Amino acid sequence: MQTTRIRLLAAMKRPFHQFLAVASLVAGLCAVVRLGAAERTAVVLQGNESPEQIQQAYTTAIQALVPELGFGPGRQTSLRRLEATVHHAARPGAEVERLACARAIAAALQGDAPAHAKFWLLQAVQFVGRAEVVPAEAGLLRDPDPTVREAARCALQHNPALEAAEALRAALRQATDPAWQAALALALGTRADAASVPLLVPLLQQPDPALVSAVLAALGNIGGSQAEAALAKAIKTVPESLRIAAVDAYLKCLDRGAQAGQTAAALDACRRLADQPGLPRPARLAALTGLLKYSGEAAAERVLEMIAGADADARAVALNFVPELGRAALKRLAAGLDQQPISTQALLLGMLADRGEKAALPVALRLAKQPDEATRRAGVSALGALGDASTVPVLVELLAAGGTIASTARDSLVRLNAPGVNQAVSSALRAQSAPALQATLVEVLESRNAAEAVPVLLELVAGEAPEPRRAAMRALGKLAQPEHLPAMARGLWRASSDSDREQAQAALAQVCARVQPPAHPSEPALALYQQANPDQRRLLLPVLGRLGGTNAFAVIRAALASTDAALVEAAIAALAFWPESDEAVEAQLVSLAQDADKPDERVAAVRAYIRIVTQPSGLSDLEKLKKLQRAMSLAERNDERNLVLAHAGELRHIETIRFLTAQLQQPALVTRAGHSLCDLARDQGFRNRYRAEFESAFNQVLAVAKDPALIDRAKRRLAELSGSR
Amino acid sequence: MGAIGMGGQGRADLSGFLGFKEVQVVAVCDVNRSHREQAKAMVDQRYGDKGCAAYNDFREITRRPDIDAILCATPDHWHALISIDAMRHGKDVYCEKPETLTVREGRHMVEVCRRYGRVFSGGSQRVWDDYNWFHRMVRGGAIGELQEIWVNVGGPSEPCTAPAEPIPEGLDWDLWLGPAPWAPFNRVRLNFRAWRDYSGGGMTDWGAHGFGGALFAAGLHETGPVEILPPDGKEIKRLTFVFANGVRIYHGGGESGVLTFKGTKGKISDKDSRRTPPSIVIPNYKGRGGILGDFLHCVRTRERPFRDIEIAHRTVTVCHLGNIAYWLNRPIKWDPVKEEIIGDPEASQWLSRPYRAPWHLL
Repeated sequence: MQTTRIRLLAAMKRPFHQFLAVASLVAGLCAVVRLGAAERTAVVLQGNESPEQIQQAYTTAIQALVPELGFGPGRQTSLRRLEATVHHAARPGAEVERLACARAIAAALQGDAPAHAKFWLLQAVQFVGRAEVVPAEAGLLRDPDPTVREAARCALQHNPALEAAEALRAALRQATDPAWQAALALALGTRADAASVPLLVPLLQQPDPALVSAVLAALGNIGGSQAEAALAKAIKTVPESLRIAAVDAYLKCLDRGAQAGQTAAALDACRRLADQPGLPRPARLAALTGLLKYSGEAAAERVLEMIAGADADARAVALNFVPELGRAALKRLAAGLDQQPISTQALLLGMLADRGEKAALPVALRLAKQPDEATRRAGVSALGALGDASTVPVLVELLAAGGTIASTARDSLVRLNAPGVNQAVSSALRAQSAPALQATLVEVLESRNAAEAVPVLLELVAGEAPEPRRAAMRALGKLAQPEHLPAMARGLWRASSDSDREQAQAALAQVCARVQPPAHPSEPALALYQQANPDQRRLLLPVLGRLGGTNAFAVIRAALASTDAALVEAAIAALAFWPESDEAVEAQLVSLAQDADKPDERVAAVRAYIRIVTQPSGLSDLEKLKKLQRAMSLAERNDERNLVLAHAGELRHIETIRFLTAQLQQPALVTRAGHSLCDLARDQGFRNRYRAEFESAFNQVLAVAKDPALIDRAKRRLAELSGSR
Repeated sequence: MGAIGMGGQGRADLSGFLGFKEVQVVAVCDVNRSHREQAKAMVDQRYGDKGCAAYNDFREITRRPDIDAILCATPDHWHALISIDAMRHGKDVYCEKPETLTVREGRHMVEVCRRYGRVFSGGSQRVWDDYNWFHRMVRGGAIGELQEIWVNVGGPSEPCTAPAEPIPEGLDWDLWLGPAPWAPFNRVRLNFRAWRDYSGGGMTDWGAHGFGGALFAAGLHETGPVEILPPDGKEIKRLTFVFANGVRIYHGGGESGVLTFKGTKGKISDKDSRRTPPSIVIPNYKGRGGILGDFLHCVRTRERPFRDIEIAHRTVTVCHLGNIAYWLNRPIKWDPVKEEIIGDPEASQWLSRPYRAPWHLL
């Protein structure tokens, strides 16, 4: 059911009888006009209104908003409503509404709205107005308020209708104040209004430098032969302070001409300009750049000429221009490098390598053998971008030579991007006997994700030398598949230090994790375990611990019950890596923490328990806290107690605050407990919800803490708490 | 060097540059006397003399022939004008992010930079310093083929209608406003980040970092989206940038921190940053000393810095397009090659804004 009820923002502030009068005037309307939320359009139509009804709706809505526009408390809501209305009316496919909205704004601009209201209307109309608003905007170019005049000028500048340009030209013809003339010139220049050139050119003779500067800029943006000629003359006649502006404008004109096909003329003009005596340096730089820009196919040769020449500015411009060269020009640049001094070759080579220009590869190979270190480095670095499989021996040789270039050679080996590189590096690895070099080549293969290197890596893990064996094991962790596990395990059996063993175990687990579902990741390791001897089983248990799963836990639990002390120790170590929250594992760890004979085993069990109960699990923060409190009761050392407190800082519950606060009585735990309280209080919502508890806690922290960083944090938290009242 | 815009961030950047031996700061500038005096004091203390000049008008720095490069750390609405003026007068520029207030400003800055053969570095150091782990993970294939990215940064700015207050002593309010529309002074305007006449809000402020990191990791930093979809309360929950290769970037959300990436092989965010990334080599800074060192290296060698103006402009353009979609509350179609909005004249009007005379972008 349609209603004729109308509510207007302004009407809400009027006496009731006036509201009825307004309502009766529009009682005949069939459309529903209603106001939406503050950020919504003030006009919502049914979709069947006539253009006249639409116009009435927008006129009413805009009139209602006008008195509320300005600067002051509460004005923003109305401004937002105005903007929402304009944006909605200006949407694609709603031309009737756009026109209605624009006309409504034009009417308001021509009325007696206060200056600040007109200011906001002129801002808004920039996005919805066309020819229909030009008379209103143009009329305001003569407004007594300078803010309104300027806003009207901006609105006309931004109005795409040709009539807007006509209005600006008319105003410029009448203007006498240089600042206003400059402003109008800029508006016309921004519009690239060619018809205004005859009006603008004479203004170049005016004494006011700001006006001349504006006209120069305007002519530069408009372009065309008349503007270009005027600017060419102005370069020679304007004061020195405006010469750069004149040249800049002239170059813009040349650019427009070049885009229209007049490249040869632009090139000539830039050449003359670059040779002009007394030209400011920046202007000359720009002219030199133009020389390169309009050189077309000759750009590469010109770049080389300028780099080789004695003109430092020309050299700098040419170097800066290299990234702009097209593919064909880059090839010619590379071909011409030989003629350049070595230092220039090195610099240009880097730029060519950045662009992947393979034609520069011979230069890179040559520079890689130069005696000068910086040059050699440039060559070696470029090989990474430009080389292929045949480059590998060169880089390996440089790597083997050591010294300052070795790391660059290594990087280049990693970056080589061509078929056959991985095979070439693998072959080089096989041919090497120096352990350090072997290890580095393994790292290169790992960085390259070279899965085809797995066979040679499996050979290395069975070898005697620890360094390449260690590197190969780590690489296999990334590159191998589960079927390689038995061969890979040789690296674990041969590991000669605790850190090597741990790394090997991690690598084996990493590979196991690649099994395809529905198989469980522990299955390959379990199969290996079944065939292993006791020493090997001891080494495999931590691998099973990393993988988790029911079957792995069963094996570990059986090992815990063993009489072999080393096996028991390995089983406890295995649980330290358990990857997920698991009630059965937790119960086992609690039992170990309470009953294990050796203190280290009890400590390891507690640490493992803390780690597991803080894994993602779906438990609530309160449930996790209870587990941590259990860990606290099991902990025999302050290290573990502090570990509990550190994790407690992640659990957002009031019981956590109380738990942490209670620990402030223990001098050895104050710092950690205090920091965890600060961590908890970072969450503003949580902090405000429990303001009293936090305030009490932080006051206690300040009373007992000695750590300056903690004291500072606690003070800041207290300040945040008091600031949020 | 000269340093322009000596508020908090400006002085922090100035302090950074003062740490480089190859830099000598000879002048500072700010329209707020207190800021420029503090900056001058910093410089004088560093060199043990009183030789640093202190100006109110940036042109005193950009036109000085003995200055090779400038730092620009003013509010956003001044970045383009000051940078362009400096480059026209032969200076290289290090400009704080976001580098522009509108899309057209950015393209104009690129044109001027190339025309005058200048080095321009934007100031979003986090793109590499904070997010290089993501670049290695994504480009190294750790999450497979990239599908979606969440960028958790603030939202758009809005117009300011704050009432007039007396202008504080020592503040040149007219020059502070510069090219922005006239407005009465009110201290809230000095918190410029919130207001549309001076900034794009959190969307461009942290967006320059966040979207910069997202685009770089995705290898999309030299192009742009083809469609921008504001949330519609139905299927589109977050502002969405759609790229031609199918990747979608969402404004807000994600798992933790600023960036979250999802690919065919999984999802990563800050909380995963302990994972060892693939060891791929990704070109980044060319010099030593972070983003400032990269800029100074390129000033010497004339190479393009990591956050060259073209890249910075492309990043902030994404932020600006997001803001336009929010302000107009309708989808935007974008041509990233022509840098035009397709089929929406009003939206196209937002790609630039008229400058208050006598300032201009021509």
